[in-house]
Amino acid sequence: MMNDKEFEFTKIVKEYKKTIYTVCYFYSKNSEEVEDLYQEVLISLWNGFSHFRGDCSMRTWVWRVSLNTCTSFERKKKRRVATVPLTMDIDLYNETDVESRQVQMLYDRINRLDVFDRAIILLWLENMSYQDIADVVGVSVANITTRLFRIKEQLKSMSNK
Amino acid sequence: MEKPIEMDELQELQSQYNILNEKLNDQKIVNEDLIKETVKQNMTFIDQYCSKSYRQAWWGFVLLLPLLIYGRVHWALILVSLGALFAADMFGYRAFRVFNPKELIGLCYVDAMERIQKYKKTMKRIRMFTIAPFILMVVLVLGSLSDWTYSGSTVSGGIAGLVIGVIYAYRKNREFNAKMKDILDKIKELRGE
Repeated sequence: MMNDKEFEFTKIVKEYKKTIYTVCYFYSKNSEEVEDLYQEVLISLWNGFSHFRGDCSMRTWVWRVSLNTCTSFERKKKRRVATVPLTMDIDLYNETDVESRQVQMLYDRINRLDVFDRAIILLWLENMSYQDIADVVGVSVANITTRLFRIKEQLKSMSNK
Repeated sequence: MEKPIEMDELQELQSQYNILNEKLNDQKIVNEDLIKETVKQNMTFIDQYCSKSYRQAWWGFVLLLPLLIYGRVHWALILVSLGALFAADMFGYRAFRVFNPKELIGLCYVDAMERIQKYKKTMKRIRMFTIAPFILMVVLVLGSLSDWTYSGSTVSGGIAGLVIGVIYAYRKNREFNAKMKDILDKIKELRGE
């Protein structure tokens, strides 16, 4: 039987499952790594959940935890023994239909950016306001604007190559 | 032939992202087993890695101990190495407390990255601190094995291995420092410092 904390946590995980998956996807190399990272992020969220004081919105917090976990996760570590597989019937890394290829193109371009720019562009793609992006990343709105302009330039040079 | 409409780079990315979102919308992704397993776990890999990594040097010492006894290295040198390891362990514990994975995960991205880099830097220093007595001890063991002439194929092989190891470590360290500098410079740039 679930207690209140577990119930609340489950609700949050279900609400932000896509956000967590997206971050894990863009910081991984294959489906196995995504599964490991996904579980790692969930454990981080569970551990941090009781310390969450509401100084920022839940959305901002989930993004922060997901990004911070994915960045600090040691890829050279062995697979988590008890990884529970995700309930998915698609493999975004290997499918070959037109839509999946579009997603892979997006993956390739975002992965060529450094970790900071990758985070900023993901938040922008999530339709977050500049203020919210600045809250997650921890820099000023003006700096986010400048950064986005530079990212755009980088993307342009990538497509010209 | 009609020229394709040129899309702004970010718009193109947005349309690809929407496809990803649509694909994910159809997926359940999380299941009850995953949540149950999560609730059962009280340590992430980051916690485990950080809490144990600075203890790894002790294993090196345990493995080297029979060789030290065989090589009849003076007990005072073994004590000095033990002291260095103990100090490294204390610094490691301190670094782990500063890093504090539970607090780190909720920080904003740039602050978390900075903390990770500081932690890595401290750990690197600790590693160097623990490696130094080991190198000294290996040199002494090799000396003792060759009656302090440092000759013979085993001894010269050991010295060659040591030199290669030191060069490799030096190059790795240089790479690590350059990478860290890049990240710290980027943090400064992002903060507008």
